[in-house]
Amino acid sequence: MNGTLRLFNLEARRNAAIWFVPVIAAVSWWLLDTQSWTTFLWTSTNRLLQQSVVPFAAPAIAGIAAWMAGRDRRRGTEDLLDSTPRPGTQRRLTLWAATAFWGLLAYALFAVYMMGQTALQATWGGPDFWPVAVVVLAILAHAGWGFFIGGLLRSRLTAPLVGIGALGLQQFAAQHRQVFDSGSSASTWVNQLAAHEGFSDRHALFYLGLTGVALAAIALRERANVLGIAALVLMAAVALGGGVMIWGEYPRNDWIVTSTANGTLVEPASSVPRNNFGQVITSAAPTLPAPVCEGTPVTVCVHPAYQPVLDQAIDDATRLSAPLMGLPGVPTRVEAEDTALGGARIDVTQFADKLVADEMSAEDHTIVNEAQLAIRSWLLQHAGWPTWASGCDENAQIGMAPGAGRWPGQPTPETCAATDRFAKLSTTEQRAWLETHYTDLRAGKLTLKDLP
Amino acid sequence: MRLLYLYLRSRLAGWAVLSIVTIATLSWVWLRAATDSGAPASMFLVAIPLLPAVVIGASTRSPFGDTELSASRSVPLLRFTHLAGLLLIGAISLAITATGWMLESIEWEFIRNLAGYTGLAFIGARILGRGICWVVPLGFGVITIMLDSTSRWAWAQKLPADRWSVTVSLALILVGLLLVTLQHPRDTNDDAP
Repeated sequence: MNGTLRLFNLEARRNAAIWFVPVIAAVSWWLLDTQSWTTFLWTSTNRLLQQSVVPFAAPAIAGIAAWMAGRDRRRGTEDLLDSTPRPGTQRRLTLWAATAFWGLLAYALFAVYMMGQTALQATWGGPDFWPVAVVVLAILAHAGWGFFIGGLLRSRLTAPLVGIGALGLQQFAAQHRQVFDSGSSASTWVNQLAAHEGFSDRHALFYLGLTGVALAAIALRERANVLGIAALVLMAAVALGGGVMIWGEYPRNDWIVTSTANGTLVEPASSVPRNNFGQVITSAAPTLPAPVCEGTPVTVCVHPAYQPVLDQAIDDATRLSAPLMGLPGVPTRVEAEDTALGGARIDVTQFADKLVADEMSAEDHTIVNEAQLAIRSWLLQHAGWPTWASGCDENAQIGMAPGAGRWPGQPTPETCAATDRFAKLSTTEQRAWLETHYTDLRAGKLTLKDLP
Repeated sequence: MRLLYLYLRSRLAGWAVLSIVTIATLSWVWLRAATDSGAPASMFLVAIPLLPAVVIGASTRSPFGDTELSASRSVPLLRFTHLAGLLLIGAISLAITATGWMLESIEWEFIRNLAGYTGLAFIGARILGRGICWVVPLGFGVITIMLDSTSRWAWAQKLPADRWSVTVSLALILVGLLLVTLQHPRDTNDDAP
């Protein structure tokens, strides 16, 4: 055992993969930066622990393992090493383990940093270790297959081609689509085979099997025996089992494509969703935790996970309702369902809807009354929101005939003109108008003509 | 001419050409087989030119090391002829691969990306060593796939090729070629683990 550890120590210190630790960390950091990491959310961290590392780390480790597999031949030491008392299988597997170790270390450093940041800031939830397990096994599997191919095809071109090939395979699996005649497409179960897409026990099983097959193949190349063949068959069965479970539990893609006047409509063939095993997919509604409510005079309620940015939301909601404070019937409570997380900030713009319209005057929770829309736009602009948030952005208005091609609740150019007129009034005039008309405004009894 | 022939033989240029042609053939098959898979053109744009680029990058290897410094003839000229020739073969192969693909016309974009990635591989060969020079274009390729196509860093995703993406790829290949032809390649990494 001590001898094996000493050999591992030697192989780890004399390994080209050392140089990949900072490279993997740097590229993963860059990928993390492009994917909007919300540091205080465990859901974001759990997802990006997988998606920001695997796309580069796995192909890179495959390439470097292929490079290391050809080391003894490049250095002309194969015959010399054959004369040592250690079995060839043990030497090869130790070299594989030492190479994979550096990839795992790079991932561990990155994971500790990400989890540490989230642990310090998060107020709800916790780490999910399945994505971590999938990444670890994906790195081991890529190292194993890279090492096996590098030992089989000993050329200076093997390492780069294995690296790029692994990248191509992962991306091909991740971006595979079922294409319909109409040109539209849908995701398929093949996507789940990519190491950065799946994150369950089935995916861990799949990559565990792939790792085992590669290691058994490496061992068999050194010395063919019954034990090696049995291990190869067993691990192939594990990989196949994982793959079948991924396929079987994926929703069955039976679609009906119909042509309509507005284009092609792609719908599920059955209203009862089934997986590829034919079982009905039952999805229980998630039990939402009790929201956290804070703030005066405006109280904002949010999902407990969003608590780190609650103060900002209270400020935003208070600024939004400031011109209406003191008027009768002004809502002072933002419910959790009226909030959404946009990046690292809670979006409370839906509270503006509640401020200008009561439930009875909205149609399907959407404001359609133009007077309400005009005051809503004014409130948003007054509180400092950009014009696109109120729908009065120039780009949103250009080329739009009134009523044509609009989404429900989008203000017309006339509505936006009324908003501008209202904004130009003095604060006293605005307040006087609101004191007189606020109740009717919320009830949806006003039109644009009633606005000053 | 004999000197050039011997130089190319010492660099295993025949194997490199064979690899490039094989890659182009397999890519031709992949492009057509994958048309039904619905994978976006940007994925092929990024992934396929990487393969010949790393082959050309790996071809910067010198079997003689420092001994070559004593040569009486201009080695940089031979290096340039060798690498530029491989690049030309790679470009022609990729253009043929892309010709007739039913989804998009991407011949020039393939060539642009091949030039850019090869430049990155050359720069990697100078900085990291020829053995692992492929990691630079691989890393950049992964970043490109994950980036939004509007980002200036995602020049390899631009379809059709615009002035910015062509300028970047030309700059990379010129800098890379200068680095590996004018300066003697590092030998340390071929001998490293």
